[in-house]
Amino acid sequence: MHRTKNFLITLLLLILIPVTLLAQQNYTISGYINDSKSGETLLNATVRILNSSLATSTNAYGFYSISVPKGTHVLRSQLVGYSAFEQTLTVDKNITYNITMSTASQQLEEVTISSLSKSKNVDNPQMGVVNLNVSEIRKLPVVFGEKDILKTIQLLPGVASGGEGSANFYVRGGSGDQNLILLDEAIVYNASHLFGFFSTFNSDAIKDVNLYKGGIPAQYGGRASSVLDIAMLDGNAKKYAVEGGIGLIASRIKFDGPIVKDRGSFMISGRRTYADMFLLASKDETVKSSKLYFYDLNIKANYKFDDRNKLFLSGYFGQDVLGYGDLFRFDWGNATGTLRWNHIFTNKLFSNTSLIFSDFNYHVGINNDNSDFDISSRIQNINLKQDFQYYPSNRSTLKFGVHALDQTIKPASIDATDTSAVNSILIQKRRGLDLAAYISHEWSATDRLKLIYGLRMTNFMMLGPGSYYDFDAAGNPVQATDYKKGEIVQNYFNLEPRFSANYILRDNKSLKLSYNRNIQNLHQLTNSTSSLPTDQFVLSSRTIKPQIADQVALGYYQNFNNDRYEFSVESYYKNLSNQIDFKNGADLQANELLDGELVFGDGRAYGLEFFLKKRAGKLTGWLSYTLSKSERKFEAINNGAWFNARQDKTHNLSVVAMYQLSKTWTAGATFVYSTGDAVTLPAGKYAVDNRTVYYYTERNGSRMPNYHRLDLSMTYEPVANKDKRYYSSWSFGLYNAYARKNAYLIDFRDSETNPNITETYKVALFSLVPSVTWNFKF
Amino acid sequence: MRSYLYIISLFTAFSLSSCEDIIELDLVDAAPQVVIVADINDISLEHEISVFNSIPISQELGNSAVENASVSIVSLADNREYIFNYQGKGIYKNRGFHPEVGGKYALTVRIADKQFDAVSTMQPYVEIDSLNLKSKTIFDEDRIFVTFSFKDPANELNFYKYSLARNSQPLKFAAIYNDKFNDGRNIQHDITDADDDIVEGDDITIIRTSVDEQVYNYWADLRSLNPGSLAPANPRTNLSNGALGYFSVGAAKKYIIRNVAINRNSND
Repeated sequence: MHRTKNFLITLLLLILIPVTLLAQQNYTISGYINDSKSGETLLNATVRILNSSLATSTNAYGFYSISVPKGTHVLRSQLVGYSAFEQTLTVDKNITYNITMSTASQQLEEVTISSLSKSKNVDNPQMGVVNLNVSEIRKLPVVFGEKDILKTIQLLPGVASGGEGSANFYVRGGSGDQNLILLDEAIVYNASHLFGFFSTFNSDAIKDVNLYKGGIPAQYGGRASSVLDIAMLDGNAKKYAVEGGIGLIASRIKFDGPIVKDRGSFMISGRRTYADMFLLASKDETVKSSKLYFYDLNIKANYKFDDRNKLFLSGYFGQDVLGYGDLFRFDWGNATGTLRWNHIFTNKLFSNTSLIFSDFNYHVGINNDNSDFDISSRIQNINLKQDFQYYPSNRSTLKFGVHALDQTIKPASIDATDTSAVNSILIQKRRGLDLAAYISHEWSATDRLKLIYGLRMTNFMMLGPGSYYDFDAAGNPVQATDYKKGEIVQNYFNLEPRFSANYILRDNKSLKLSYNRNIQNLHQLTNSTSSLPTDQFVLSSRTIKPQIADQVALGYYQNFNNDRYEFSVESYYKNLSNQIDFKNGADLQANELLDGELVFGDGRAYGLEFFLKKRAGKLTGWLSYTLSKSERKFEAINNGAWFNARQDKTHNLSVVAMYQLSKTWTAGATFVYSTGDAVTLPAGKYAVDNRTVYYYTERNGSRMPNYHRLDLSMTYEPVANKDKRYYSSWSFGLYNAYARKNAYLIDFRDSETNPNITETYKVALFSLVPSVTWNFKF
Repeated sequence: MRSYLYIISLFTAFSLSSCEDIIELDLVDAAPQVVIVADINDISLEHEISVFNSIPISQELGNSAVENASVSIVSLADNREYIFNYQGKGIYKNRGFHPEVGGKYALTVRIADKQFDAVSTMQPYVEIDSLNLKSKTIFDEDRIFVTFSFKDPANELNFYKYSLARNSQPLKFAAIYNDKFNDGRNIQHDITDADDDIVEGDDITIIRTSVDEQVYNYWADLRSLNPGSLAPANPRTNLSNGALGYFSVGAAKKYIIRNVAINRNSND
């Protein structure tokens, strides 16, 4: 407790010093920016005072605050896809000014260049961040015609795909569990459906996505490599609307509207797949009665009490169901709930208080011959956050807050009947409390130099009750200690400095530098290539130390041709410590002594990322290329030598293009090329008991064949008829257009013609996959 | 709208089939490693130990016998040594070694100036209560299994290994089990040949062995290897000095089922 007290005092000092230093006399214009048609708050919209260097942008809740000297000013706000908004304001006191912006006409033709907001690429001191607007990506081709945020981000530099059709991703050489995935601030533990082929994020319900690959701001913590912050739509505050789509594999429907016009709105969006319809074609009765589907539901409501107080309630619920007759049932899903209160204390001080709940669980039921048992596992958290944003002057923004995260893991336990052939096994629950406080100062030191510097302090405590083991170097338990409820088993205090600097060279050119340290206290143990819901989660413990990532990045940014093109090149070096792998033959299932099965080591990753984006015109899209390396080192693996991480991809190229063919038709294409995964392949063989056994030497010393694929799409969006409320559009897709048989996995077997020869074969998952989706709105 | 319906029907006829292809991949060849397979049981007094070299992956599996090894087993209870003599094809034989339950045995293989050691403890045989044949439908396919029913001894670790031979074919590893999840329960093990289905009319030979933990680890590691493993590794072995293979002394019984027919039981 003593430590906690010191920690709070330090924090208070840190907050107060810069605030007193920076307080200035000026007037403030503040307010929210909303969409004129739907009333949705608009995030990341820029607000600037013309003929000055004064500028800011809306925060994650659509709020802005800008300080100006007394006088008459022209306020201009801009956002991609919206017509620029301008208003002359005479300022002689602090004023609250809410802005509504209208969407630009659908055709992105030359005339709309004026509405093209100035790209933040160059100006923003934040680096390593990508913002995706859902409307921006809706015409991209995707597998089965299902728009998917997690697949789209894989087309960005520094992000590697988790495999064919997979929603899993790796950021800058980090592991799959090092991505913090937030949906309306709630941690999403398992972001995929159907073993990774779909993400849990239904694009219909999503407003905005930010991916931080580096220079991660201090308000985020808990994962080592990246933050994917996803915001759900608030719902239409002006009128009721229904929209939906029918696709080959899933159907979607969304209903939103005002609760009280212009004061509050709600949104309900649901989706269900029907892959199991194909099972009905089987002759086998058991297969026919099998299940294979998922559904998810996003719900959100908000209410504005007055200009200062706004309440949001949002939730997600998704479930996958897989069953083989009555013999086997497997279901898993996430549930999240977020209650938020936005409060504006003064024109300069914005507060958000969040109470968040998140849960992921899976359940396996086996009813086979004489075995009759259930396996269930759950991870849950309650998260309380208090965040402040303070705008002391037009040169400074302060963000500070405190977070408390209480996580409980109930590892897979077996519940069997007395007559079953298996025994019940109950594995003890584990509980961890993460307390964090942060402060971050965004500061325009000069017109050319902008800085964001901050510090996050995390104190992780593993709490009792339970028996906790210590292990010797070989991983054998040496001693068990019992702890009472709430007793601290292990405490880890860490400081996470964050720093970003931007130096603007000349108009439209800048150099950025960043450093961040990230701490991770929740670890996912994966030993298969596909993301399985059964992957075990563990908290930092006496044996497992927090994962630490240190990253430095340097970048050059340039916009040209009137901001129509955006170019950047970023290089990074990331050092990872306390990385986790397994001992040979590790027993990860229902094992009380799991910690003893783990080995700990280091990681390093570095790379160079190129990104060129065309933001306007008939042809839009981007080109992304990454040259990178990601390695790991464990004493017990590969004789202690560095080896390639599985997701190490030397070359990774994506080309994304959308072309406006006519007023109604848009063509889209994506092409991806990447080096094959680093894999461990046999180097020798021998026969035991008349079976061929393979002999392995270097870990991940070989490569899968290189991966490449072209996807095409056509979108038909008729010009809206103003007399009709009803509107429909079509999209057609062709995944893997030249039917490349990319290896999903490779394996070895005795040749049929000569069993003494080993043959290598690959399994390709998808050949050419056509899709069609019909979307409607009324 | 009519044309839309046409398009839908066209696209619903899409294919989602995965496919397999032989490919050429550059594999790195490893230098030959010593392999020792010493699987001793108490079914007969005649025992074999194989000593040979592994083959680089790109080469043909063939004769890689180690001919000049000295191979022996020492009973640690009474220090008696049993010498295994070379018989050709990498096989070393001994007649007369009678392992006993609870006995600790040490294997020593010397090849030139290199020595490989391992120790195995002979586990008591867990008797079966009954043996049945049954047919199960798995994904549209009927498969025949030989079911061993028995009561697992409670409060101790037990490990079971099964090898199976169809008709006149050689014995092949079939299954390995532990009792982690069913200690002390009435257990059924369904045994079949994973690569080569048992059909009615077959003669089936199964050797069921109670093995020790290290032998279980070897086979369990091999069995758990699949192309979806993140990083396959060599199975854990009780042999020292980097030798591949394993040393097992186990209590075993042989079960022969002649002329397999569903719904008829037979015993040895």
